[in-house]
Amino acid sequence: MSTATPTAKKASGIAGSVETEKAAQRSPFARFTPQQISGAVPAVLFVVLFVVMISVQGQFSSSLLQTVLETTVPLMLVGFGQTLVILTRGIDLSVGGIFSLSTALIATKMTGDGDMVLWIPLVILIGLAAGAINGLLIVRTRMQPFIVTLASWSVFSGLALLALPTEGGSVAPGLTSALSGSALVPKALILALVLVVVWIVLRRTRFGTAILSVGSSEAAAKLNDVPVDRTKIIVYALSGMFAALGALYYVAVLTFSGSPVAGDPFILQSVAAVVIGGTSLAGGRGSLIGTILGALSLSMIAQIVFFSGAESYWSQFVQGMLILGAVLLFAVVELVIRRRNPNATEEA
Amino acid sequence: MSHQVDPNAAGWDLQALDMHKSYGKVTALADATLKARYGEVHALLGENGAGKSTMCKIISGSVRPDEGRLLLGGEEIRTASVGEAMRHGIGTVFQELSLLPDLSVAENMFIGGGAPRMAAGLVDRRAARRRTQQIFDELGIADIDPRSPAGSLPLAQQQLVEIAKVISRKPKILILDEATSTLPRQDVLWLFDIVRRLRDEGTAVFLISHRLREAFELADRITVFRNGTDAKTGPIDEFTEDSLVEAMLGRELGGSLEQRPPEPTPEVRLEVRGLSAGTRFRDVSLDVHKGEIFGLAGLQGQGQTPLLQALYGWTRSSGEVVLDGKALDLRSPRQAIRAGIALVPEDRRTEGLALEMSIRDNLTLPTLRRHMSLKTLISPRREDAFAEHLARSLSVKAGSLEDDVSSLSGGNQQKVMLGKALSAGAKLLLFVDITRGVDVGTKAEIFALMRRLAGEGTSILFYSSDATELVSMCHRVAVMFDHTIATVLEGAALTERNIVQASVSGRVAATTEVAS
Repeated sequence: MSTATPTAKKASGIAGSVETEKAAQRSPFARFTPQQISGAVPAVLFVVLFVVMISVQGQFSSSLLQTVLETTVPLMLVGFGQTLVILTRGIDLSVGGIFSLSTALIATKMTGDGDMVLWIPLVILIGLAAGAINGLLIVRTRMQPFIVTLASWSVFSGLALLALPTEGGSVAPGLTSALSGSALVPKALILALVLVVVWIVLRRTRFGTAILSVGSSEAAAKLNDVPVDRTKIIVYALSGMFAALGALYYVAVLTFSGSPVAGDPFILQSVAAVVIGGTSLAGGRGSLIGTILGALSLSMIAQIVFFSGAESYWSQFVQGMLILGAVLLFAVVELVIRRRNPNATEEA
Repeated sequence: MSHQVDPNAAGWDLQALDMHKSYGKVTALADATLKARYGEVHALLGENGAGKSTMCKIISGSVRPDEGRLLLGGEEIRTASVGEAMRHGIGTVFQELSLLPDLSVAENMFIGGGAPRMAAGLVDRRAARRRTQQIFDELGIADIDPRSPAGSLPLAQQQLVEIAKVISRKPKILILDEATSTLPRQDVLWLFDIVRRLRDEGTAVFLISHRLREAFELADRITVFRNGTDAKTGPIDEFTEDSLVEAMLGRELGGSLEQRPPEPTPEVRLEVRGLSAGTRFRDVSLDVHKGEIFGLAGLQGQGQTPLLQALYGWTRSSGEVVLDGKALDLRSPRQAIRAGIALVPEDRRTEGLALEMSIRDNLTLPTLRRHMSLKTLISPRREDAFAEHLARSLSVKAGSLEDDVSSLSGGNQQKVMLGKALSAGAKLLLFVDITRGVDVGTKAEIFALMRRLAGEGTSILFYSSDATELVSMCHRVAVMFDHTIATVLEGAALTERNIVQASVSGRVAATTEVAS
């Protein structure tokens, strides 16, 4: 390199640093990266709601924690899949159908402990396959994920109704005792921690980077030799699998029976948990940890409303306000970041 | 220099033979051939849409040709994907940049592979950051934090990251597709130093640039593309600037790049007094006359773009802005448009055009009110007539006005952008580096249009990163330094040298040597 280089670089370097330093003095957010900010929001929200919940109930009890955690596990699982999909800038509405179909299969086919060997893997595989079909359709036909998964939600729901026309059935007691926790062994908490670990590991694999790349900019991902289509198919397949896993836990621990419409509330709840958790619907940015906190926040609101003696209808109202508030907050953060760096391009 | 160039010698290291590529009805490449040798810098020139970018994309694996063969060292290879090309040692700095905006700089550096890994095969992020910093240090890149999301960096820094990313993979064939278009001059010189070093180490470099000067500075060999094929090729000393331009156009240019605009009137159109916007620019005062082309120069990031955006009501600012004797309170672009101000942004793709809409719809969008019947329904007849008139007067080259804007070449998209600004009948035009990445032919047309508009009394504030352009087009040029106007050059003082000097030092001193 020639001798002119260092001086030449210095000129532009100085100009750049002056600007950022001044910005740092002005903006309270300037010290943090966007990732850190969107990570902090769900954490703060979680803590606030937790404190409110404890104070409304008047005492701290481990059974309350266990209830909150256990009722949230299915949403955490469905939310895991949904997070992966949304990170690629997609959406999976079919989780509701896959979830319902899974509960129907579990409640009708897996009533005795002996059925578990065959049906646990089978239910998971069916979820995986159902999701893979979504992914294949989206990749091969270039149809919008919203439409594809809306249609397949209906198809899977129909299959659920065929398998189990009304709520009912039962579940192998072995599965219930295997998954139910106690005050001594909080299995739900362990499960949540396992999910977090899986996420952290996943994030550091090539596949994890591929997921974020696809959502960040599909065109750029292709130029970087990221297998875009394969990543999408896998992500939808995993989403289907997580929906099935959620159904397994749901039937075994919470309801002990199946329902052909059990999954439907999970469609929007999972999207809500992802959004509150700080994952961008535009893809590329977000975290599963946020989703877990988001799911817990939604559950805690139900608890708070219950303990405060208000009509349970209020929990929907408050959850809605929470979603709006979270989205608004992220929009403000986004704005602050853009202000800080007016030259930055959102999409290259 | 150690290399020799013999046009008749065999033994080309890379040959792209008889390449064909068409997109629907548009032929991008027809029977085009390109050959290169290790240890040579090969400049590809041509107007937008001439096929040079398509050729490079085929070599780089991002576009598949309809026909044609690619030979590397005499053996036919296939580059069906960027990854395959990379494995053959072909690395590309893409014009549109291949950075993933949400991933960190360090993650971007290793996305194609080669990330440091821990025992379990997981990415070692700390090592990746260290390695990135090391690469930046070796290349002399300062002030880029490997942890920042790539999308949060200014465009010029993103470009540096993209360059570093590709070079760190040590390609045997390096393609620079418009790699200099977003870079300030000092960074261009920095890049050229690196390219020279790589060439001397035996790398074959393809350079695509719209700046003829860069080709003459760096290239050993030039191929000119025209109408989708290689029109002329040879060693650098067979070309002059004039013969190059003629080869690119297939006709004579007629000196229109140089012609001066008519003199402005003494009447003041725009008065700006003490305008500031936080840290982006401060205390800017200037007058622009009716019919004047007033240039804005300076290093990137000195507040030129925010200043123009503030005058368009897009960036909040404090201070006095008077247009034709009327004080303006610029709080939104809508107010600016109503006052007769139009802005043509730098990035037409994200800021100015609705790419999925037709050319016609884009042209008529700002003036829809005028094409309505009964004040509510859009009249397609009036809209068509208006759009056609506009497109013709700007000579937009398009198959049909019904086509998507995204189907146009970059230069023609820029014309549509201009048309939008003009259709609203603006008195003051704000141009944000609009000629960046635009070919000479289109540039000449844009300049001719600017001169015509100025002659008709329109005032133009023209920010350009190209000092040559400013000198030939502007009546006066304000150089921005340290976020304010450092000096205003006019008359005999308006020279390229003075602009560059004021850009780096904030003042013009005749005795000081210009750093370059």
